[in-house]
Amino acid sequence: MALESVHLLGLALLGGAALITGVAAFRGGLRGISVGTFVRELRPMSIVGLILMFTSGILIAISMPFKYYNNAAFQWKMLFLACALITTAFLSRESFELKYDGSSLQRALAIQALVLWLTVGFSGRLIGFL
Amino acid sequence: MTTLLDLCQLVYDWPLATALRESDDVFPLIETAHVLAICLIVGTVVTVDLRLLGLIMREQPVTQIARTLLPLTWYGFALMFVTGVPLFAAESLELYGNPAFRLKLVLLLIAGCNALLFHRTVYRSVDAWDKHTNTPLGVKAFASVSILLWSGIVVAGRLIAVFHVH
Repeated sequence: MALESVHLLGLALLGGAALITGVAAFRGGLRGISVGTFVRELRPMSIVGLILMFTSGILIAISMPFKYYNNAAFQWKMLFLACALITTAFLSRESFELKYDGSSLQRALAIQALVLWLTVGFSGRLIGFL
Repeated sequence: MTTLLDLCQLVYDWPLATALRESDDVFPLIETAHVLAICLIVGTVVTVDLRLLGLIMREQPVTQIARTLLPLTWYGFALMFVTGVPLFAAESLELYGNPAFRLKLVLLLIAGCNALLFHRTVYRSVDAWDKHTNTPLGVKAFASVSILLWSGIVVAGRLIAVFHVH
């Protein structure tokens, strides 16, 4: 159960950083602080969160492979996770190369990423219910 | 005499609480929103704490970061409350004696006191160190305690499920 706690702690850090950056991106910056500043400054927090999530997540999955392999919620979660990662990677590259200008395509992708991440979280929660 | 446990029983027997407890999809949906609220709170609180420690956002004044992120923290608290109350109502009897739930509430209370005390004491002199990256020791102490408390709240929250008795 310690692993699940670490997984959630990682989620709080990564999800928190992502939400702040997302709100900033949607509004084209927050109170004079640019989107790029948030992306750059919150990166260490995101990376720590990501490392915590990835290591604990893989350890949880390999500790009970049969529980997860046949669990429909887990399969959906992995599918949504792949889609969410691709969308987020694209958006991060745009903002990293300072191409983020709040265009309607980028905003649509940002909403898509948000919905996908929420679906990842929800299907993750459902794993325990199946 | 009415005890806290009697109140829990009263809430537990409430038709809406019973319906939520027995639902297959609404309960995990509210739980997901609850975790989203915790992300928003922990993300914004830890960002401000890391700035107070002089580790990130060093080019922005402390007050600018605080004023920018505090409204988001309050949105997080509002969501945490409106999702947390029905989650508690649905399982109030089981949660009453749950040590992890009790620990979480105590840690939340301490985190609140920590933030209040911070604003009432060291934050009053913020003008003197607003743009500094090397903030006074007292400020760093409050920020470190805050990070530890919120980590504890997340861990205790997850552990509620471990102590859960059906």
